[in-house]
Amino acid sequence: MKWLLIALIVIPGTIADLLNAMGMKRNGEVYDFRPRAIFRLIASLARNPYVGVGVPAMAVSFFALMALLSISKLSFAVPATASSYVLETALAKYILREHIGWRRWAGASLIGCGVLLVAI
Amino acid sequence: MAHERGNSDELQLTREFPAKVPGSHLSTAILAPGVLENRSQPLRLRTGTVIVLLVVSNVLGNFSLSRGLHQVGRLVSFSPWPYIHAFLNPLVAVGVLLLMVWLISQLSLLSRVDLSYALPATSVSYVLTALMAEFLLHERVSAERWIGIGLIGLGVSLVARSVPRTAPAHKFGDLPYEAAQ
Repeated sequence: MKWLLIALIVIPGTIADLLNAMGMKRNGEVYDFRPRAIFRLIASLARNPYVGVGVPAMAVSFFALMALLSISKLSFAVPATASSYVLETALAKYILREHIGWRRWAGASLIGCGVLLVAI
Repeated sequence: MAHERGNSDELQLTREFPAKVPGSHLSTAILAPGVLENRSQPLRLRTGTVIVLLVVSNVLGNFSLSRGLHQVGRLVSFSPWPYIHAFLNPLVAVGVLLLMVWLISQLSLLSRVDLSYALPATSVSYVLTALMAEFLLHERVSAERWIGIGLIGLGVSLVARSVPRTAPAHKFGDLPYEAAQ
């Protein structure tokens, strides 16, 4: 059950981040945060296929994390998410065609190690 | 030297993909027509403000949601009813509201910057959680945790000093960015 939940946290979480990044880059930059503008944004995102799949995937990942936290310790749940920093940086390079310089590689690796240590 | 090369790489990228640098979007040229016609002004938030909103709503949202869910009890089910029942708890409701703020700020951040630039924002929550444990709840934070916090801080500062946006704005599989202009 624990390992199923970890798979349900990591895989949909990664897919969600990639799809949301793709969808939001297509949507254009968001600068207006008045309530009406936010409702307009939500209405336009509802028709955005990338975000339409990305947000439910995010919800699956989130509820799986909540479920895992309710049956196990934080120190078991968090290390599973530590690997995602490096994994998602690599996927951002090859799928989203982001240019990852040495700062981002080093940063993502340090953060991954740091999250592992914090969880112990 | 690796340092030198990294710098020149990133400078080159700014020329290739003219990224929105935080702060530069507050240009008066965009606001002027609206001011002249006395229209209501858009509520513009800097990228830094969005990141702060993201981190704060994430930490407080997770905190109140996990507190609330502990009051509700075990929650491992593939049926929606236990989840709907849990929403009746006030802490859970506040947590869900904060996480909606988090979702909107996460999506608008991703509309402006690279995914690999936005990722570290979530790791700051581990640091804040540990600091809260030490200074508010007066729990002892172990040496390993302090080292971990240091590594996260170092990693975040490295990523924060890279160019925020390098990803092309074109649709997936479309023409390259330059050709689409």
